[in-house]
Amino acid sequence: MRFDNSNIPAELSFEKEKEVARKFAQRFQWEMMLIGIGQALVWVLTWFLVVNNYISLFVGFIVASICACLAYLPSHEAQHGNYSRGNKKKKWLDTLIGHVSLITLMYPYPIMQATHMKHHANTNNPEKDVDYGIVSCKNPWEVLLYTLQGPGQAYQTYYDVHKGDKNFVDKFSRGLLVSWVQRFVQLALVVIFPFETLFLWFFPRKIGTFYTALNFSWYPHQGLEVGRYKDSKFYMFKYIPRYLTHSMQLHFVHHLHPNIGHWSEAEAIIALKPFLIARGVPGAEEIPDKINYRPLLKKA
Amino acid sequence: MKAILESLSAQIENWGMVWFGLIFLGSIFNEFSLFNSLNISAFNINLFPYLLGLMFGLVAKYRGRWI
Repeated sequence: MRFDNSNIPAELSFEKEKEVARKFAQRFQWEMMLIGIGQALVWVLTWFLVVNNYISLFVGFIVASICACLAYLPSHEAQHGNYSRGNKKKKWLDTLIGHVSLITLMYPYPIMQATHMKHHANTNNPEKDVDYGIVSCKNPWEVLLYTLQGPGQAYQTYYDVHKGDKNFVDKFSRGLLVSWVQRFVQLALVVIFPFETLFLWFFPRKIGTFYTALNFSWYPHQGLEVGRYKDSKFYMFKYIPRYLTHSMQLHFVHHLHPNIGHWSEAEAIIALKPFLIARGVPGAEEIPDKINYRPLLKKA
Repeated sequence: MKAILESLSAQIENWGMVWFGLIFLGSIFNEFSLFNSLNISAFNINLFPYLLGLMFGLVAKYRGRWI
């Protein structure tokens, strides 16, 4: 759905908005790389420590679950090419971090990339948005049930919808191979280390998937319509600081300008605030005048 | 090669839940059963836990969902 720009003053034009956003889409995101590779290494180390009885399975389960919650965002930046930033020589960085970061969650990176691009192009569209199954949940409990169940036939349905797009089909096919390898490794591990696989991989990835679905896919889009400036919202919680939700309070700006690095989103929103209010982005009036290190808690 | 991959893909798609039940749940149930010293066999593997896992997998396949 195209946005009607006729009532927007010239100083807040789309071109100006892009110009402002571009300033925040330059930085090399070393923190995200560190988190992506770091959590995967910690997860592997946890396996070693648990299998060799250096730490208990319970401690390992807690560490693995935290790793799983941290796993998606670094790969998400890779899906948008935000490490290479168009430099072909650095493309391997996107691929490496995209794959490695998702091992904890056991997601195939090529499928995540293909479906995520379709999510951006069709946000909140029931027929075309692969995340709509989550967005349509009415409460966190339904999100939990959906994520425990897995997407099931949903991916097949969305594959059929988008199979005319060769790039999508190629990535999906490659992702299936990755997915088979992951499943095979998990089934082999469960035969050798049954409890360890259950508590260091299976349960943590269910927890990580629920956390990711709740914060990335559900709440920022829930109850909203289709349209560039209408499909995601700015919000604040009363008791949950933004660091516990991966700052998904700012997710809407990622939908408007996906190349803005995650760590630059807070600054970008302040600079873009007049543009966002002019275009009626849900919740834009509530954006504070300064965000940088604020936890974004709603005042009573 | 393409035919083999397609048939493998279809097999996993149709019977994935059953294999998952048999191997994953079966291994977990078997590990639990080892706590019961009466049930330990020579290879630390019991048929019953794997049958239970297989049954869960078959039920999930015919229901089309796990929960």
